[in-house]
Amino acid sequence: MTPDPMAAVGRRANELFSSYQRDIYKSTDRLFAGLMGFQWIAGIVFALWVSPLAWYGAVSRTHIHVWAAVVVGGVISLFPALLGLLRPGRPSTRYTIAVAQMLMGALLIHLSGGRLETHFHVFGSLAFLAFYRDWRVLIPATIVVALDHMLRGMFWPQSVYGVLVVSQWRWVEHAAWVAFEDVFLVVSCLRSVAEMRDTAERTATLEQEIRTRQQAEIDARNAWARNDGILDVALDCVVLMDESGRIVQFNPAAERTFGYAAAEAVGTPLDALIVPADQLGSHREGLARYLASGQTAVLNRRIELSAVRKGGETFPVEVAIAPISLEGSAMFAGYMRDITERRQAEAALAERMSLASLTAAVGLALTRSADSRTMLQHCAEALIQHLHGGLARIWTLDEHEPVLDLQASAGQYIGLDGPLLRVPVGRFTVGRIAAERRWRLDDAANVDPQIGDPDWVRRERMIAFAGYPLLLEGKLLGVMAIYADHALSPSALDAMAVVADGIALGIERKRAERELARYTRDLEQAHNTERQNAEQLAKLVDQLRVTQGQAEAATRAKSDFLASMSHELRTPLNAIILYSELLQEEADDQGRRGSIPDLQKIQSAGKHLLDLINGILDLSKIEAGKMTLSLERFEVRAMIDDLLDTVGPLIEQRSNVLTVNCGDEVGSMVADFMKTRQILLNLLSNAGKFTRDGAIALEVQRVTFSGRPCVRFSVTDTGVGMTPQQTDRIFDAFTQADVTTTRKYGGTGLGLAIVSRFCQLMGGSVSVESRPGHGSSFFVQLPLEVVDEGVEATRAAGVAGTA
Amino acid sequence: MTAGLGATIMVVDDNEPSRDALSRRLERRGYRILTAVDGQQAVATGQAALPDLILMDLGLPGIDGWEATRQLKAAGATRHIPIIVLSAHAMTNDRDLALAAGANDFDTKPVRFEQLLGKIDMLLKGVEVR
Repeated sequence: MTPDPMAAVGRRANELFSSYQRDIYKSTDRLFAGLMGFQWIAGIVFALWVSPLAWYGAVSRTHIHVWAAVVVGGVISLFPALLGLLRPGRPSTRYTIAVAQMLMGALLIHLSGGRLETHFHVFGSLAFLAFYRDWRVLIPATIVVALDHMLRGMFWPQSVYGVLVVSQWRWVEHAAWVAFEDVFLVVSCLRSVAEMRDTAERTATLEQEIRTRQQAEIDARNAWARNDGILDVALDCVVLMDESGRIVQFNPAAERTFGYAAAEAVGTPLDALIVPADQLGSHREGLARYLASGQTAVLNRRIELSAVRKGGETFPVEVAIAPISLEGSAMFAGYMRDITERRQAEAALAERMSLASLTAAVGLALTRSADSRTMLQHCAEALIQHLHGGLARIWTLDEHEPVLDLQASAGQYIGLDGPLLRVPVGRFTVGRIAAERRWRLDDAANVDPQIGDPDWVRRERMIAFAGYPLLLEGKLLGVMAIYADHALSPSALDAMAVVADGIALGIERKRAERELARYTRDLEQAHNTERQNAEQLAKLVDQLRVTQGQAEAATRAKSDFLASMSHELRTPLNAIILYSELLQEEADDQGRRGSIPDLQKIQSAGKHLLDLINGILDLSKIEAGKMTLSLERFEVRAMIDDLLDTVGPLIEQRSNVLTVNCGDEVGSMVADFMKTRQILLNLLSNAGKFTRDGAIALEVQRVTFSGRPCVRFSVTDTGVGMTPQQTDRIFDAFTQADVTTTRKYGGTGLGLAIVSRFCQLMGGSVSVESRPGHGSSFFVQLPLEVVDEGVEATRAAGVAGTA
Repeated sequence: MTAGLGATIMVVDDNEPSRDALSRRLERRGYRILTAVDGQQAVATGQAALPDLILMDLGLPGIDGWEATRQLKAAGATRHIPIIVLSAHAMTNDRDLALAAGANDFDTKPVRFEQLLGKIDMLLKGVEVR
């Protein structure tokens, strides 16, 4: 569609007009092409007829006019004739033809000797030229005629007027006649052109109208096809009905839904086909009211109604009816949808909701109720409320005899009636459920002879009965039962089974809670007793702690006492030893050798006392946790060489031979130099003390003990040896092999105890192998790199050592 | 012992028998002996007489042995004099404290005389023993 149909029509009219003009120009050009040929031949014939021969005496020749007719006529007519045939329709062709036509007329006038009759050829030519309906071609034609008459009138009047002398204005007269005719011809041309334009415009308008009409028809056809298509595939039933209520159109969905073929349905009254009998009245009434007043409750709204299928089945439909106004009449379009499934889904949903509510309500009752009876009453009420039951009851099994006690009752039958208060297992339907431990559904409760109160069932029109044993792990706890005045759906029955399980659990839980409460009471009593015991224990522990603190304080006090005691003892001892040595030196100088042994005894006693003090002090330090390690790296071999200087004389005193085996591979170790030295000193001096005329060996090796590198010192002697009983106690303080040893061999009895404590302090160990009479071997193992484990560890070692 | 000949040693001790015994033994070895009975005297005598070595007891009345050692080691004139601290306290960390106060060596009482002589000899020869 063009945006402006009027402009399109105008354009089309111009187009048509131009085409008409072009056609007329072309056909007229062709007409003149023929006319030219004809005039040429006619001119020759005319010349031959009028003056065939020219006589010169008796001699005659062909008259010059004949030649003129042939040659001049040919010259004038051939070119325009060719133009008319080869280039028709062009303005130049038209004007050339107009000029040639008038020249041809001039020739004919000449050939006729200027006879007046031939002048009429001019008028005819002009009339022919008017065929062009183009008044402008008359202008050159008229000018040619006027000029021809004027010039020939002046110079050759015989040729044009047939007289020798002529008035000088005669051409004007002729030209005037021509002009006179021109006036009519021009008017005629203009009118003809106007008509032609009018025709073109009318034609264009007509064409436009035809086109519009055709398009409208196509649109209408498409619309119908589209509507039919839509109706064919529509999921909704679409039924068109006329004013009289007859079906006009019945789409495939309607065919499927209602069961009628469209061919059957169309023409049948709608109400007779699909409206249920009980709605016929309102249907007809509504239709009549609409037709009368244009008002109805049904139109243009979605409403839910019932409809009837072929075969009589009634089903729910959703209906929308729209009136379609036609000229002079009305139609109704009914859109209908079968909502059976939707209704079913809604009903199922509603049921699921109420079953979920039931489960929730029961769950709430089971968890929130304070005591068993309230809990069961709430459960029974939930069954009534959410299953729309008539009566719901719950019994529990007596703990001592096979009787069901009614615990809860909800619904229309509120009273707790006699025989059903306590139902023996096996009696009535309820008792049978308990005995069989199987749930029971009775769709015809009203005719069941086993029912406890058949009068009530009939009176209240109860239809369904469902009863469930309350079981927990196979143990019967009670029975739950419900009456309903409607059938119970499978999902309602399933829900009730779940509820029954829940109630069984709830009953058991309540029972367990009671038990638990009892246990809790017992436990609290036990707990109280326990607490009293614990308090006593705590008191004891506190006392123990105090005692321990006192013991530790005492240990510290002892240690402090020993420390100051040691100081007090050392000062005089210092003087004693120095003086005894001084006196020995002086006695020696002065030759008083007799007093020397006595002085040596004083010195020796003083040194023994000092050793004793030092030993006690060392043990005391260890016990008090005050012994610290002073770790350094030293060469083991150098340490031993230094040691031998001190210990050598002691060993040699009793004619013993000392051998030392310490290879260079032993290298250096990290330990407390002084304590390591002390350990070896004590062991070697011990060996020397208990061996006479024997051999003492010191061996040093690197070994791996418990996965870490150690240095192993072995001190072996061939001395007196010890019994196993003696070796067991050898590392305890103040212990020598026997009580006489000190007397016999001297020593403080602290040396090995100190060795043992020092070894522990440095993370090492000492052991002994000995047999009486076969000497002893002491083995000391110290880590190659001793780690100071701190005062606490040291203290622990010390305490362990004294234990 | 020829090494001790001519050298002057100051023995500082408040205990008369100890002081006397040690002094006499050292004299027998050829040392000249000065004595002091407390810390104050030790500092005064030390600064006045400039001994070659000092044997310092720790438990002294008034200024104790540590303080006396500190003062002697702080004064320019006596700083170079080697001091060996002798202590009867075997239990406490006297050794560390004495060395911290500036003492050159430490030994316990009762004195092991030969060992002490060795230390004196070394220090007089200018060898730090520690």
